[in-house]
Amino acid sequence: MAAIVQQWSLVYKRELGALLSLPLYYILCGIFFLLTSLIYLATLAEFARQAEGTTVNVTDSVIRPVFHVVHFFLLVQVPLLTMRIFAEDQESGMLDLLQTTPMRDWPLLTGKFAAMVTAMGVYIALTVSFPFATSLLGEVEWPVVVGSVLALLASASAYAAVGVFFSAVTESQVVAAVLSYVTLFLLVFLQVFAQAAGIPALEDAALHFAVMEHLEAILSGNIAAMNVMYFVGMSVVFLFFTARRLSMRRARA
Amino acid sequence: MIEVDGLTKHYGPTRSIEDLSFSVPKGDILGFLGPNGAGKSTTMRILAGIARPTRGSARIEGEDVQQPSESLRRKIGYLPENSPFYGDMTLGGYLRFMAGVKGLPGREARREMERVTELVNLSDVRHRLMRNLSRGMRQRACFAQALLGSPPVLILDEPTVGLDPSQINDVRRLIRSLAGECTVILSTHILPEVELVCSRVVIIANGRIAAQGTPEELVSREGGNTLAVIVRGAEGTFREKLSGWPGGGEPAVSHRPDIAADAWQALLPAPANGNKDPRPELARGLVEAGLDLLEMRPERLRLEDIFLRAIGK
Repeated sequence: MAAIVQQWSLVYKRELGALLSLPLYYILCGIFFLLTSLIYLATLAEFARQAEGTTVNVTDSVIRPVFHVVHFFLLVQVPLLTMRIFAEDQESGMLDLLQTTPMRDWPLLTGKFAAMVTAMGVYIALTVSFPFATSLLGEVEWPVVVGSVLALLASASAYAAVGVFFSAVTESQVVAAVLSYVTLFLLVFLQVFAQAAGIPALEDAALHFAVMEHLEAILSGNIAAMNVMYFVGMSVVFLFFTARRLSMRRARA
Repeated sequence: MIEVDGLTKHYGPTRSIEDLSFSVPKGDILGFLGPNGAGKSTTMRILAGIARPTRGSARIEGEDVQQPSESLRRKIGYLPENSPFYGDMTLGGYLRFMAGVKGLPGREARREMERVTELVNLSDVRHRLMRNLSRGMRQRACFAQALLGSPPVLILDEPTVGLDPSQINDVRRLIRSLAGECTVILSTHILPEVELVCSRVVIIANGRIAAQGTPEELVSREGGNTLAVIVRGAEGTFREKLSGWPGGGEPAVSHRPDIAADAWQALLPAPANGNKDPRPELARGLVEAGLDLLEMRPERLRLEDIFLRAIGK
């Protein structure tokens, strides 16, 4: 057991170190944080103009839209950061080497996954500065903020799991990113597709499986177990796929 | 102890290796010799447990490598063919990472890191990033990685590739020093390497075993060393004089018009050490029979000749 913990933490530290030494990480976080800030300021200005003399809620009209933007940016950057996570190791042969050691596949993949979630957590933590700034101007509903951060973390984990899986599927980082994008956009915009198709059964399914459905719920302060479990379940499922894929590598190689 | 039995690996319709069987006794160093693309790396990968054979089996210390247990994996040190590494780690960090992953606890991992960097002469560059090291240094770093925890079985895929001559010598000396305590299988296409380092040789060509044994066995099985005799004169007289050669039978005589129109060459089995040397007598006989003795020289059969013969070139 001690050995597994040690292996896990070694993989975690090494992967986090690798992520934090990627220029791409800083570029993405920097650009998206800047964009989010601009959007925040614009939303705030718009709110100030409209809210003159009314009782419109600042949380609903500023914080929530901004967190939607943060979510969208997470969706955009996660595949770019996860694409190398296994593809690079497969290409260099490092994964082969690691798979000959006594270490199991589970500490390897969960260590990498956790490092990725941590890196995204840093970006999400940065965006908490917006509600803080807003609280200087008006009343912020903190439970909604907490719920939103949780929703963002949970969705970032789920997207990271998808990205990790596709990175394990192929040696090509570009292919990994493309496959992750296709899958994530399908899941996120499932309702839109279902409605466009006009098939009731599909629309029904979309209600349960579409990301937006659950995200909206949490973002509006409804931190129901179902909604959080949706993202946790998505992470677990894709991590399980990844584990299968890693053990199948040996069989097929 | 490594036992390979009927090992076959097909990639779709391509046959990478076909029906390989050999064994490496405990403490021996086996050289796995073959031209590029002969199936060396495939075999090594199967032994390391990261590729499955289509048919056949491989056992290390009695355990099937297809479902390697943790304890089996702990017994194997593997150097993959392109010596992978993490470029953003220092050499020491990389080795500590690998030691930890192999299950050595913190302090021991550090000690092992120090021991193996010492072994491969890389102590001075411990703090440098792997990506800034030369290719030869990375190769040795990866070799050092295989030595972490002193595993009793080493699988080394081309351990000297990319090294300069003095580093090659160091690595060969290091591998030789492991003989006895470690069972080693190393692949190479460099012949002198096998002669210098290995106690057994398996030559593979086109995925099949072309020859195997100790280097001495291979040489003697292929007819051993020979004595080349070249004369000028009548072929009949030459043959007659050769008939008294010990262990000879009918000697192979060939025409050598490149030397002279009436020049002949015979290849005789080299006289065994210790017996009365028959060469002076043959020389006298040839000259007395009126033949011009042009040359009499031993032809040493090298592993290279056996290798070229085995792979059909």
